[in-house]
Amino acid sequence: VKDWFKTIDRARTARGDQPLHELLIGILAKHERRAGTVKKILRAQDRLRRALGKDGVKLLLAYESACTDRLVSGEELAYSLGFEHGRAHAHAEAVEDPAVRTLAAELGELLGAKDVEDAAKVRALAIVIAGVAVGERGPRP
Amino acid sequence: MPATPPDQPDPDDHRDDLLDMVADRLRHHPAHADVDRRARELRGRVEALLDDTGRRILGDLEGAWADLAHLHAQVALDVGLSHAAARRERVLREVTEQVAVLVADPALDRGARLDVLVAVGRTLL
Repeated sequence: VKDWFKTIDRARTARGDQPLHELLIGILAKHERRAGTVKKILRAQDRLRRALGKDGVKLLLAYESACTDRLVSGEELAYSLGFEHGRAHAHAEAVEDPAVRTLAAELGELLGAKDVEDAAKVRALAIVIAGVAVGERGPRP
Repeated sequence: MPATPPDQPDPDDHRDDLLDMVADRLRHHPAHADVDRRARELRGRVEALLDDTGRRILGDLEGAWADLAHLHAQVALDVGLSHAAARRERVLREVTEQVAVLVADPALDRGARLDVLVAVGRTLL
């Protein structure tokens, strides 16, 4: 799976949009299930801190940090997989879309036309290709 | 709520399939495997310092982290899917608008048709 999370996050940040992690946290903050789970984590942490000595608490904090990293890594992969799946679905649909078919036919006809200058054909083609390439690299969700 | 017809895929089943796929990919993802190994190792070291009650609490903590990670993955998957859908809508809408110009006027000369194609390229950017 391509790392769509980082690709899109970069594009969003460059546009001044909210970074993806912040967006996800905003959505997750509204989940009651999340609030309940976070409470469980905090309660267990508190009890373990009391049961462990100073060095033990340091280990516990390192464990919690690794758990956070594991969660973030899973979150990013899940986003990328969701985006890739949605994109593949979009490609399949686009092939059937009348506008896309017409566009392809127009482009094909113009590229084959003898009365259009090669430079003009190349210019049009280059811009369409650049558009698709940029769309692949940094789409605007 | 009406039942999903048998010939229609259930969106929740499909999402569960995708979440299974996320879990499977994570197992084979080198960076994730590293962080997972580190978390397990640290958990083992914390566990060694605890009595039975402490180990039970650590088990609860681990379970809560797993629930949280699952919820985060679920939400991230949904957001990824919705972003791809939003992008599909935007691109198709803009391509449709531009192509409508071509279709509406079959007498449009070559230069004008090229201009429309250039405009399509720009809307994709």
